Amino acid sequence: MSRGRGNIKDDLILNLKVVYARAYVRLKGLLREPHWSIAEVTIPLLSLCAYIYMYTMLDAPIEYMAFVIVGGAMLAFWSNVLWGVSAQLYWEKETGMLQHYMLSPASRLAVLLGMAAGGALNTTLRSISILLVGTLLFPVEYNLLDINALLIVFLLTITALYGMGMLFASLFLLYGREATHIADLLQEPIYLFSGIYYPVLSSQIFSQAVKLVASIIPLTFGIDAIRLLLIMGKGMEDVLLHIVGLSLLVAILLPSSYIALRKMEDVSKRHGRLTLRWQ
Amino acid sequence: MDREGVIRAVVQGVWLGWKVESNWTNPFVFLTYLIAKPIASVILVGLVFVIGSTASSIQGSREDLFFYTFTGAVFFIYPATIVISLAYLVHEDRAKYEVLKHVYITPSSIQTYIIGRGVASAINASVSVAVSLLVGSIIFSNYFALNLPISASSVDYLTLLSSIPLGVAAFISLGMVLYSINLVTFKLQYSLSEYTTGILFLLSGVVFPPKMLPYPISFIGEVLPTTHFLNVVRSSLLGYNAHESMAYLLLSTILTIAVALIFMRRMESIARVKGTIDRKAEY
Amino acid sequence: MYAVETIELSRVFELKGKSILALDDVNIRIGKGEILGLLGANGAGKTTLVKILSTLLLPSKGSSYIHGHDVVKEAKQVRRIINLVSGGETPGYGMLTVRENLWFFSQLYGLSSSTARERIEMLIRDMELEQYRDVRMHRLSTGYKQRLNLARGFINDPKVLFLDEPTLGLDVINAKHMRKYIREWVNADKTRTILLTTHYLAEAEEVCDKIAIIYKGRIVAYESPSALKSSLSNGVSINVEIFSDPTAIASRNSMVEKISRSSGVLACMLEPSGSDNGYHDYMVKHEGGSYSNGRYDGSISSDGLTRVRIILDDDSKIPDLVSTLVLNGYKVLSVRKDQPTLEDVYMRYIGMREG
Ligand SMILES: Nc1ncnc2c1ncn2[C@@H]1O[C@H](COP(=O)(O)OP(=O)(O)OP(=O)(O)O)[C@@H](O)[C@H]1O
Ligand SMILES: [Mg+2]
Repeated sequence: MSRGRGNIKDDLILNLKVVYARAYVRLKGLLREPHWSIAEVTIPLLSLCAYIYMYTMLDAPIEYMAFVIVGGAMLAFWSNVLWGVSAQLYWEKETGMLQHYMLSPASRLAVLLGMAAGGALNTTLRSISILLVGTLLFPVEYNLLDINALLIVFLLTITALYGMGMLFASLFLLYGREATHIADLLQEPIYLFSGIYYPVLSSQIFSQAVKLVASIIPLTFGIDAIRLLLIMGKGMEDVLLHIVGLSLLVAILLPSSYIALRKMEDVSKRHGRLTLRWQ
Repeated sequence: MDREGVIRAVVQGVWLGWKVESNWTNPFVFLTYLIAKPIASVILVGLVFVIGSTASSIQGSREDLFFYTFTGAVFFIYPATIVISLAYLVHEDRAKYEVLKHVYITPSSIQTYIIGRGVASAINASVSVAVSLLVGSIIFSNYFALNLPISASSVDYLTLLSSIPLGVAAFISLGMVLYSINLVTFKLQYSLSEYTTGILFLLSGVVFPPKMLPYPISFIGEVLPTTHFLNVVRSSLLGYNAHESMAYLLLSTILTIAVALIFMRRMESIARVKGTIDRKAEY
Repeated sequence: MYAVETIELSRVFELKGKSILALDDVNIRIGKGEILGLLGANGAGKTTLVKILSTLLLPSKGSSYIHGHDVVKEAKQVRRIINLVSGGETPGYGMLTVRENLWFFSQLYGLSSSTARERIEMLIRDMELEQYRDVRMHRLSTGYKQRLNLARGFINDPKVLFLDEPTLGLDVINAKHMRKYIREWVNADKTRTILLTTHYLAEAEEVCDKIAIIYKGRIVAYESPSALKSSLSNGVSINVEIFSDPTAIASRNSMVEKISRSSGVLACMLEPSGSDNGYHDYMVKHEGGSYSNGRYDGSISSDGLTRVRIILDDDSKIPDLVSTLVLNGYKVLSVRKDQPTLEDVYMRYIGMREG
């Protein structure tokens, strides 16, 4: 089978359209169901406030307030990666959509990328809202000196996180019905180890082994670096390790997510399950 | 319904609720919800405490504060579990299993069914509370030298044990309110319980005293049964006199039950007018 | 080049250590401009064949081609020119409107915005969805969701359209409308092709150029509706009316069984009365001499008369049959010879397979 240049170009155009269309569904959802966004901004803010009061009660240094707010803002991405991307293929299967993706000429990766892109975009809006409201409510101070480093770290974190979400999406489907429970189970350990409400990597409390394991989750490096850059006034040279770590995660997660997707499709076509409803 | 009938209905509800709530066919799921998640939530609060108190200079009252936040986090499992399971009930029965309409057209009362489900999740919550109390106190005393100032001999067991059914009754009523809201709406199925637990966590003195909050908000905390439940639990664990907190708990529980019963009756008739009992979700 | 061609296509499912032969050496060729009706009972393998041809499932053996493209090796080329509509299924996003959902699906095929717009408007018109154009999908009634699902199937103007029980859950008028529409769609462009699966003989007869009967994974007949009927020309169909207690199902079963075992009977079934959507009992004789029975579409008469349709291999056997019935104590009211119907053919072909 020969594939000319025109063919590759057609494929690319087709798949860009698919990415856009799938992302569009996400963004439409955001506009059609504003209460989702309200919930996803308000609910994290409630526990975020509780922890800020707890730090106040403990008389912790003032920057801990900002730590919590940044953590809460980044947590929005993790929720979206878990529920909006990882559990999504499973969900699409349940609603009977998945097999229509499977029988269209669109690349499955394009579908996943569309989901991720749409999710990342509207979660960024939510995340910024959390940051803004948190900053208005409490007397926090930021000290940002290196905005380029912040942007690099943020983009790497998001890429790694959504790469992980895309990997999980296929794995969740392979594991079937437990998908939502796995997502649910993964929620708390992330709070604990990624340091949503406290610093992990720079803390004395955690052993090196714990820090290493925690770093598997892109959120850990991401939150720590963003806190250093945004709150502690650090620069690029102080977050080099974070950048290397995040880049490594991206380099591992993106190809793995593609492999897992292929594997999932293969299992599905071979055994006649996974993508098909009622089975 | 005669009294025997009511008791039978509640027992059946508990049995059914227990079956559904504790998914024995899938031990992985069961252990996740019963053990892993509660322990993680307690450890999270403990770690925030350790890190926050290490970073600050407070020394003297460290153990007292730890006791306050730790017991708050552990016993908060009761309202959280019950409220979440009852708020989710509508979605589960209406959209997922499509049994809600069939429950409604039977002559048995939906209240008893809900109470049954609530009691079943309270039983589950008791297991979670016991396990996380044990595991949490071991972890924090071994790794962080934080000991709970509780001595087995001074605990006021009678007060402790009587506060639990009282609290559970209040939390089930709270759950009923959420259930009723979900019965007439569709948009809040997932978020209502999270809003509620978030608000309860913030306002009822779980990890910090509610009087730290700005005035009109702090007052809400004073009315909530969760606040008084945690106060009674803490006093009785330390062996302090808990009469006053107990009286408040009783009062706010009665108030919550009354509100819930009136509210639910109202919402049920709205649900029948709007035809939301068997309508499928809208997304 | 055929629009659809399968060569010795087989599919085995492994389920809890047991192998199920869902498709067994299936050879079909559908020409361009044709509608093929694939007729078979529950579990016969219809959906399995459709899934393989629409690239959702791999065959265990054999090969298949859509417009000359290998379904396994050239899945992408195949996907560009096919689409699939399964009855009773309503894919799409509930919070998007009818138009937005169609637009979304059009993008899965990379349609340009002008083509997409034109085609969506056309389909909305054809499916009489105009007043719901901007209504969110979750607000549509089941029937309208089905129309949207059908519209979706045409969104990429497929060369080959698979319709898996497309009239499932549609009311009589909508089903009729749908059959008319697909017939016209194929007639309008003779490069288009449809493979339609169904349980209903009447549906297949009304709309299909050819009918394939699938039984336990095997194609047991593959002809035009008229050729199928004439294949019974040496046999004869007769209708017998018998007085009996309509409520006694057991006695009915034993009657079907006794008739089936008398000489020359190829198949025997209780006639439907009135509505044609219930079930009735049937019994067929297999080539090796064995019998199998089951329940077949139709309903049981409730007027005190049992109407039995019997397929005989030769009309000289009619007197013997009548005397057998009388000897068994049945009160025969009338015996009438009839034209063979597709239903007879269906029973006959199922009977010809080894049980
Ligand atoms: N994924 C699967 N795993 C195991 N067995 C399967 C699977 N899919 C189908 N089968 C089996 O293959 C056989 C053919 O099924 P298929 O769905 O093709 O039948 P069908 O003709 O479409 O029936 P229906 O009229 O009920 O839709 C059945 O015995 C079915 O149980
Ligand atoms: Mg089928």
